[in-house]
Amino acid sequence: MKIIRILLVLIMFHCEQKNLLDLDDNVDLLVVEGWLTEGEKTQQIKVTRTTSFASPNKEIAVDNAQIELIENGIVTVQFIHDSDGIYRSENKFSPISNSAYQLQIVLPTGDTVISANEILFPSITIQEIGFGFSLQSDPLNPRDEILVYYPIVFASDLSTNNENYWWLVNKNGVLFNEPKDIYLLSDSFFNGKSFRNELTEFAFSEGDSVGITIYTLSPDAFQYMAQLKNQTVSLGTNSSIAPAKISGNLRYKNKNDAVLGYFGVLAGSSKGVLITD
Amino acid sequence: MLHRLIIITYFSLSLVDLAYCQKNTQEINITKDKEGNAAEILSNLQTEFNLSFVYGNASIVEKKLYIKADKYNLRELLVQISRQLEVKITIVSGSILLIPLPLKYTLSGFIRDEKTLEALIGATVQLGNTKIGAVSNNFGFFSLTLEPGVYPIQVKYIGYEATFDTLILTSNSIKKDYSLKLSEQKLDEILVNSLTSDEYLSSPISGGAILDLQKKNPLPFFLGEVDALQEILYYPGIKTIGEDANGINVRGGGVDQNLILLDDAVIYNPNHFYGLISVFNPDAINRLELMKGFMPSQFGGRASSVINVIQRDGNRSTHSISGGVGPLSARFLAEGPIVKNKSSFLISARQSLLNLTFPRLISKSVDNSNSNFQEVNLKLNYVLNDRNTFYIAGYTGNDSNRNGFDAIKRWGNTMISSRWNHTFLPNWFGHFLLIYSDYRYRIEDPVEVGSFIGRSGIQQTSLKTDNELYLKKNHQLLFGLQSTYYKLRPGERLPFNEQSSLQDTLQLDNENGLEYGFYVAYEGKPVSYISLHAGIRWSGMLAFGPGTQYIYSPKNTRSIDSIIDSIRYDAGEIISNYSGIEPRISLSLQVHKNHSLKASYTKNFQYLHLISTTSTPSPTDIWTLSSPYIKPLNNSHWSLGWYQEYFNHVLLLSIEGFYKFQRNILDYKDGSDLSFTNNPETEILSGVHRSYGLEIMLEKKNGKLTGWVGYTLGKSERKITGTFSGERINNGKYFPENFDKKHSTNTVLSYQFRTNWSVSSTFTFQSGRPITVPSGKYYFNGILVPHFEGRNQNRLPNYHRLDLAIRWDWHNSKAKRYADFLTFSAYNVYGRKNVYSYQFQNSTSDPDETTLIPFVIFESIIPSVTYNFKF
Repeated sequence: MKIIRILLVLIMFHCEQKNLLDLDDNVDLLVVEGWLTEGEKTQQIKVTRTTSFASPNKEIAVDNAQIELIENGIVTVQFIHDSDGIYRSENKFSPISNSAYQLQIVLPTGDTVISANEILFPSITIQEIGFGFSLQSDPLNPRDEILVYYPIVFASDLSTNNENYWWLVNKNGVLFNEPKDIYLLSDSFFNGKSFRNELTEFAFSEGDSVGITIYTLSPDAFQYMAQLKNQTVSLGTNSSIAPAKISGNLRYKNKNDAVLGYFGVLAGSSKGVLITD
Repeated sequence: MLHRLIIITYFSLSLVDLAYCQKNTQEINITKDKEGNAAEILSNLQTEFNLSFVYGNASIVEKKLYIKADKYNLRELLVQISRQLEVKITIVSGSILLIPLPLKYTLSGFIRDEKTLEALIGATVQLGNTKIGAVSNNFGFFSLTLEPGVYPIQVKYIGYEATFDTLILTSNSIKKDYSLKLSEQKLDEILVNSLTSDEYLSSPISGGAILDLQKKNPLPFFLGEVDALQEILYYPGIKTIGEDANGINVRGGGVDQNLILLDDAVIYNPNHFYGLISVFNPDAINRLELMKGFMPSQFGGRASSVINVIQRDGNRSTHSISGGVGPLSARFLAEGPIVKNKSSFLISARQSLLNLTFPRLISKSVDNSNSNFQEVNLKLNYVLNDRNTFYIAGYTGNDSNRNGFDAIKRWGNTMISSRWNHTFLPNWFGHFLLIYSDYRYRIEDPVEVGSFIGRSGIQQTSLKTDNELYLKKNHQLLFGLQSTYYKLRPGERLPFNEQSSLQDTLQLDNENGLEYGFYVAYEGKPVSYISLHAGIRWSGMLAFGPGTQYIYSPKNTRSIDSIIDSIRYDAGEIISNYSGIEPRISLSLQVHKNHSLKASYTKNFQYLHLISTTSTPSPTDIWTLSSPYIKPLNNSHWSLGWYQEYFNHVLLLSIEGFYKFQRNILDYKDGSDLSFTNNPETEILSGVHRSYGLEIMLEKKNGKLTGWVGYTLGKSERKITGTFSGERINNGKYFPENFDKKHSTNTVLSYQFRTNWSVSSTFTFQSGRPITVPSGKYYFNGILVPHFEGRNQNRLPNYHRLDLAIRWDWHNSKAKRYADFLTFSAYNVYGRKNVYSYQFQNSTSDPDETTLIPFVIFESIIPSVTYNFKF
C-alpha cells in the first residue's frame, strides 16, 4: 500500500497544471500573394512576412524588394513598391493565353525568390443568374422564419478536360471572404456540359445585389486553394485534417527556406444581378 | 480423427519412462506379426527377447495386442504396448511394470438460468473446495474429465445461488445440465463484473474485462443511456480523443485496430451520435468481453484489441416485454419461447429521440444538426437435442445526418450470424459459423452543380469453425479455421435525379480479398499455480482482381504524375499475397493464493485499414485492403502485470505495464485528397508506432459500495519517414499520437443506500491531448492563415468531468410481474467547458487581431430522466 501512496503522490505532482495554450515561436517566412488577372489593368503583388499568431500586428510588410514578371523567359514587367508590402505593375497589362509566366523577387537581403511557371487557362461565360430560396430561422428572432435567397448560376463548361474554377461571390459589392466562402469547383463530373450551380452557402435578402466572378485555375493553383480552404475551414473541429504548412509554387533560388503563398494567372468572367420580386 | 491423433501423441510422449528408454536401445526384431491375447504376446516377448513384464491387473491380460513384424528399439515397442493396453510403463530393476491407466470419464453439460434457460457464461463447476473444475464457455457448455469416483460438485455463478450435487462416476461419461436460480437481491450481492475470484487471478488473459450488461445496477452515461462501449472507456488503457470522437484507442492503437464483434460478426462502425452512444442496445446484450492486454489465438484480423459483444439468447420458458424511454432514445424488447424449453426468440428495437427532446442540446458547432438512428436486433435459437444447438443472430442499424443544405449522409451496419454448436464428444465442443457483415454509407446531395448520390461500402462473408477439446481436467486444446471474403466498394457516384447535370455513373474499382486464418492453442493449467494460453495462428490475405495496379517511378514521390505503367488484373488473378505467423502466449503465475503475476506476448497482422485524414474518423471514411503499396500492419505487444485480491475477493488490484510496437501504420501527405480516387496510395505514407504505459486498477466487487478507480500513465507516438521530402512528418522524428494523454484516471462508484434507491457516479480526469498550434500567421486574399510547422507539439488543457445518476426502482415487488424504474442523471455535473480543440481566428471585437477560440462540445450540465419497464 505504501507503494501505491507514493505513486499517487507522484502522479499528483506530475499533473499538468497549465490551462493556457502556449503558442509556438514565430518562424519568420516570406509570403507572396500574386494573382495576375486577365484584362488591361495595373496588376499587384503583395509581399509580407509571417508574424507570431499572438502578435497584435496583422502582417509585416516587405518593402524595397525588386519584383519582375518573366514572360516566356523574358522580363517584361517591373513592379514598383506602393505601400504595406504591395507592389504595383509599372504599366497596365493583361496576361495572355499560351504564355508562361514566372515571378522573380529580389529581397532587400539579396535573396532571390522565383515562382514556378504559370499559364493562363481560358475562362467560361456566365449565361444567367437566377435565385432559389428557403425558409430559415431568423438569426435575430429564432422563432420567426424568413426567406433566404441564394444565387443559381447557369454556365457551360469548356470542352477540354480538367478545368478548375474558383468562384467569388459579392453581396452589395462586398466580397464573401471568410475561409468557408472559398468556393472551388472541378469539372471532373460534368466536363464539357452546361450546368446549373446552386450557391446555397451564400445567403441573400430581397433587394441585395449579387456579383459572381468565376476564375479558371491551373491544377496547381486549384490544389493550393483547396489546401488553403481545408486548413482554414475545418481547423479546430472534429472533422479537421492534420494542420500543416500550405505549400505554394515559390522557392528561394539560393537557400532551402520555405516561401509561402502563391503566384498565379487567372482568366475570369463576371456577372451581377439584383434580387427583386 | 484429430482426437485420436492427439491421444496417440499423448501416449507416445508421456506414458513410457523416457529416461530408461533412452539408455536402452536394445534392438528387437520381430519377424512375424504377433496378434492375440495380451498375456500370450507378452509372454512370447519375454521369452524371445529376454524381457521381464510385470502386471497384476487382470484387465490387462484380457486385452488384445498386436505387434507388427518390424525392427524396433525397446522404446518403440513399449510405446506400442502402452498405447494398445492403455497402461503406463515404468522400469524398475530391469522389470517392465505395466500399470493400468486410471479410467477417465467426462462430466459435461450446460449451465443455464433456471427461469429463462439462457446460458450462463463463465459459471464454474468445482469439485468440492478443490481448485479442480471447469468454466462454462459462451454457450454455457462445460466439460470435466475425471477418474471414477464420487465427487461433491458445486456449480456457481455470480449473482446466482450455488447448486450442490453429488457426482457418481463409475462406468460411463455423464451428460448433466445445471440450472441456477437467481439469488435474492440482497444489498451485499451487487456485483460490477462477472469475473470470479479464481478467474481474476488465474485467467491467462491479462488486461481483460468482462462487463455483465444484465447486472442489477448498470451505470447510466450520456442522457441516462446504459452503454457497454461507454463503460469500457472508464477502464485503464482505453482512450478517445474527445467527447464526440468516433472510435476508441486501446493501448495506443488506432481506432481501426479494434476487432468489434457482435455475436461473432464484425461491426465496422460501433457508434451513434458522434460516438456518444454505441450501436449495442443494452437490453439485448448479455455481456461484453474486452481483451486489451492479450489477444487469444482464436481472434485475428485486428491489431490492438477484441471487443466481443454477445447478445442474449432470449427467455426459453416465459414471454416478457421490456423497454424504456429517455431523452436520447426509446427502446423495446420482446422475448420468449417459440417451443418451450427448446427454442426462443429475442427481438429488440431502438429509435433515437434527440431531435424531439433536445433539438438545441449541442453547442453551436453541431447546432441545427438533424441526426437520428434506428436499429433492430434479433436472435433465435433452437436446441435440437443434447448435442446440437442452432442460433441465428441479426442486427441492422441506420444513422442519418443532415446539416442545413449539406448532403444527407446515411450509414449503418447490418449483420447476420448463423451458428451451429455441436458436441462431438463429451469433451469436444465445436462451433460452425456462417457470417455476413455489411457496412455502407450513402450521401445524397441534391444541390447542383453535380448533384449526386454517392455510395460506398464493405461486405464480408465469413466461414469459420472454432473447437474446444477438453483433454483432461484443466487442459484444453483450441483449434479452428477461419476464412473471410471481402468485397469493398470504395465509391460509386450516381446522378441524383433526371435533372442532375451529372448523368454518368462513375465507379471506382472494387477491391476483393480473402483473409484466412488457422490456429491451434493450448489453454489450461500445466501445474496448479500456472495458467497458460500458448498458441499459434497463421493468417494471410489474398487480394485479387479485377483491378489495376499502378507502377510509380522510384525516382519521385508517388503521385498521379509519377505513374509510369499499370498492370491490369482479371477477375480472380492475385494482385497481392501476404501471410504471417502470429505466436500468442500468455501465462498467469499464481505466486500466492491472493496474488498472481501475468505476462503475455501477442503478435498479429492487420490486413484491412481505415483510410481517414480527419482527427476523428468520419462514418463516410473508406476501408481498404492491404495491397502492393499498403502493407499489413505488423503489431507486437508485451504485457506484464501484478494481480492481487484482498478481503476474500472484495477488493481487486491490478498493476500492468505494456509495450506495443507497430510497423506499417498509415499516415497521409500534407493536403492529401482521398475523395473518389483510384490511387489512394499516392496520398498515403507509412511509418512506425510505439506506445507504452502503466495501468493501475483498484476495484471493489461487492457490498453496498461497488466500483473502481483506474489510472493510466502512458505514451503513444508515431514516426513517419520517407524517401522524399513531403513524405516525412516532423522531420522523421517520433511525435505524439492525436489521442496521447500522459495521465488518465477514472473513478466509477455505485452505492445502494436503500433497497430501491441507488446512486452512481463517474469521474474522469485526463491530461490534455496533443494539438498543433500555429507557429505564425499571414494573410492570403484577405483570409487569415495560421502557419504550422511541427505536428502535435502542444497540448490542450486537462479534461475532467463528473456525471451522476440516481436510480429509483419504482415498482419492484417480487409478488408482481411488472417492474419499472426511473433513472435521473446529470452529465457534466459542474458544467466544465472541456476544450475539444482550438480554432484560430480573427477576434470578433477587433478584426485586426487574432485569437484562439475554444471549441467545446458540451458547455453545461445536461440533466435527464429515463423510464424503464419490464413485464
